[in-house]
Amino acid sequence: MRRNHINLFLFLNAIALLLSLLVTSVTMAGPAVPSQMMDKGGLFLPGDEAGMVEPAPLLHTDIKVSVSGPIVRYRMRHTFINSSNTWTEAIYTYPLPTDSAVDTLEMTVGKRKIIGRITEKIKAQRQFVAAKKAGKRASLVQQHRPNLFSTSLANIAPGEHITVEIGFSETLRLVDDGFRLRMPLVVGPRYIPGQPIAGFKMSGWHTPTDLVPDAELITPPLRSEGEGVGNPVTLSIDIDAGFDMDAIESPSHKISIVRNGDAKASISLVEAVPADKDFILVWRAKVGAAPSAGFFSERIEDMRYSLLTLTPPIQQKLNTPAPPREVVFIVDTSGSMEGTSIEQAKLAIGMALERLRPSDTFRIVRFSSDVSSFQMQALSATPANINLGKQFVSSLLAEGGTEIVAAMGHVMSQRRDKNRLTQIVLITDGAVGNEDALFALIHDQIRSSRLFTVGIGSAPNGYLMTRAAAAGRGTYTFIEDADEVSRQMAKLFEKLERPAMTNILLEWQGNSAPVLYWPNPVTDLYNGEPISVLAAMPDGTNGVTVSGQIGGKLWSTSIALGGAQDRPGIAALWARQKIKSLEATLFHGDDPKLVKEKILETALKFNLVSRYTSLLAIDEKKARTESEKQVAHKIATNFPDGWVRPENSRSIKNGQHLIKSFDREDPSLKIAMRGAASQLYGLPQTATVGPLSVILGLFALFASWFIWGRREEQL
Amino acid sequence: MTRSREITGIALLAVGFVFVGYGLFIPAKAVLAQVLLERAWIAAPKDGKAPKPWPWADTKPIARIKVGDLDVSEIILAGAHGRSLPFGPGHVDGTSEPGRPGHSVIAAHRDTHFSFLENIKIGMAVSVELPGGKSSSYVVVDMRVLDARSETIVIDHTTNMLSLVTCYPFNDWNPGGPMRYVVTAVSV
Repeated sequence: MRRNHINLFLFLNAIALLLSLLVTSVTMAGPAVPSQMMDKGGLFLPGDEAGMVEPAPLLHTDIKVSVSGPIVRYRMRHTFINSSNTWTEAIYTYPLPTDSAVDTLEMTVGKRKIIGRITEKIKAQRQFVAAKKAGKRASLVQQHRPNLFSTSLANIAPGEHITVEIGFSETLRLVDDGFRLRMPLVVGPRYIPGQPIAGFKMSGWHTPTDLVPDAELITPPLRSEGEGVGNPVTLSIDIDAGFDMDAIESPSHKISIVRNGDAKASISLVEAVPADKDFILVWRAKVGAAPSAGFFSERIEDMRYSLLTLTPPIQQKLNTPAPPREVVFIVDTSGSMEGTSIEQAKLAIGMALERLRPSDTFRIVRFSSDVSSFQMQALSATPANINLGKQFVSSLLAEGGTEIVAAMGHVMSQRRDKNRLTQIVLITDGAVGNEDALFALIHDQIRSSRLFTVGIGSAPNGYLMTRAAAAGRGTYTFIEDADEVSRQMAKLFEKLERPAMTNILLEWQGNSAPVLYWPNPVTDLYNGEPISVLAAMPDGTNGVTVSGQIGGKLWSTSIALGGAQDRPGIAALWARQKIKSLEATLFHGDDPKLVKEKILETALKFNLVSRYTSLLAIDEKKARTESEKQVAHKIATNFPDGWVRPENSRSIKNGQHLIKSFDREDPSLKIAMRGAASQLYGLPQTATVGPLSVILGLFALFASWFIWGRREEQL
Repeated sequence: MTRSREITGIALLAVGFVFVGYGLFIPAKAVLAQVLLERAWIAAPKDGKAPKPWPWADTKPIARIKVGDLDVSEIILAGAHGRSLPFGPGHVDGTSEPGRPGHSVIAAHRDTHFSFLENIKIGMAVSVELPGGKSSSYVVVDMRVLDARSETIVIDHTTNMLSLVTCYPFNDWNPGGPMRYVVTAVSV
């Protein structure tokens, strides 16, 4: 009996040991399912899915621009060519100048033209889907950001081409006696912060997240490196400057110029170009030819919608000493900045540091997926410190995400020197999807500081640059290429060094009815910037007095409002400015429902595409029968010129940037992390208790054997 | 005295068997689950909807990961938590889904499904198949050991890539250790 016990015990133990050895070997050898089984599954044969290999429709863009003084009208034609054998729906996502007033849509199918109607966004989507399903040709133009739109075109027959034309306007500001037109042509791939929301279908390259719920709409697919560049663009511009022009030039593209007298010119691209960077055109007035004031209007019923521009005296001529300053540089070192952008940014900061006076102080903060500072404290701008700062900047590498909100939050949370004017200079390409969160943060926490944005690279996000600067009560600058860095930074610094014109007030004369004008209040102006106001003036308004303060000194001027130059389209621009101002009130805590109602009312009245309205054109003639299939394609966009594809990135190749060290106790980092949602805090525990359990079990079994063995000895 | 000793002995014997049995059950379950998952996967309709591997499953297969060089083929489950990891590698919520654009993080136990990471080398090909048959290829570019108490993975959606995470060291008996082994593979 006893023997049996022990034998049984040994037997079981042996089995247990054998089993555990067996299991160990099984787990070491990987899963038990032989891989051949999977290959024979028959599910994954290439080409299994019919329609998956159909070529995407081709796209050609033609842009015709007419410039009349500060008012620019664009006609942009997208021609979609279906080269496949199936019916196709095409979706193209593209940028427009920020705050363009998009007011017309025309779809051309063969000889038929269908004019689009302005419709509430959700209704337009429903009607579009219904028309698409019914086999009707339809196109829908939607706004996703004030500078980011999409055109959907349903039911393009095999071999067919359909043209969708949109019309839009914008106003330019006369700065330094010249105009600068910027027509963006490509949406750079943007960083999408936040946690993906479950249950959504992916149609962009990024799924929606809690912080960017429309991520799939602003991340159109990208052409792969092998596909090369595509989406050719042709462009021509007629300029009627309203003054004698000096040089006309494009820092971005090769152009041909035909001058028609002193004030007029026709410009066109020398050849079709790929849509991979912003088109920029600059024209300047001859010395003394620039007008100091402009007055353009459009009459609708008894209202005169007017654009009023006025250049105040250049502040530098006023001998006001600049206050002591603390300059905080925030530089974007994310992956999208890799390539020419980060080099330009480094150059820009280097020059900016050189321009600081010893009495100024400075800080440098860099951010990508994380946020870090050059020094915890602001340093005075001594030559030695400037050298240290330059060394820090030159060592920066561009890699990782773009946690711009975390970076701004970090800077805003730092103590600011009360005796100094804090000027924050944000240097970025703005390639993020959560712009509104940044604007809200800046609006809430800017206090007495001022924010200046510097847009870097070939396709910066103009919406982010202009609105962030507006929320931070500063101004914006763009740097297109390395040659421009010194000129543009010098100009920015002239603005930083001179007092701004503040408390700008407009007093209208001649009529008791109020004049509604935007922006209202007029934003602070920096060195050389004109006042530019869009106003709806009732009949009888005959003058305006503009006043403001420059460095504590009062400045004012009165203008008689007669003899306006007639320009169609100003009413739409006025309405667009109104919508922009309404959107800004959201940050002041206005009721979003009420704001939406107001925007909707304005947009519908003036035929404008907005965040709540879209343009929709439906051809009532049925084109496709129910039996025929339709395949949807998102048209791939180019990779922006000068950017480095992530797969070619130096940092990706060594995997280094993926690992981040953190010190949980660093308070500034904690703040930064709050915004940095796309980081994993704590990796999952990934070991089973299996081996431990087996060890403990065996231990217990041996202990049991020991006890039983002892008993045997006693007997 | 002998009686109590006998009771202790029997108790220890029982406890020993329970522990050993449980310890063996875990890898056995891990292997069996993959067989069931494999069946569910193969039987899946081609519409891309993930089937349930067993009626009471509270996770679902979302992709298949293959490493040809190591003869590995495993079904990845949704979520990397206690309800998925015993059965297969789990996709970490909040990162891109495997095989889709962006950065995807997959975790599994070092002593079952991801024990093969010990033998993975830079340059090895990793492929991810989605229901419906679409397949994405990746290549291993980096392996490293992290201390989960002070380091983490930065999720970088600008690149299509996989991070395969498991506990480290591989043959440690302690399941609660702080070290992690991270294998990075980028889309090719």
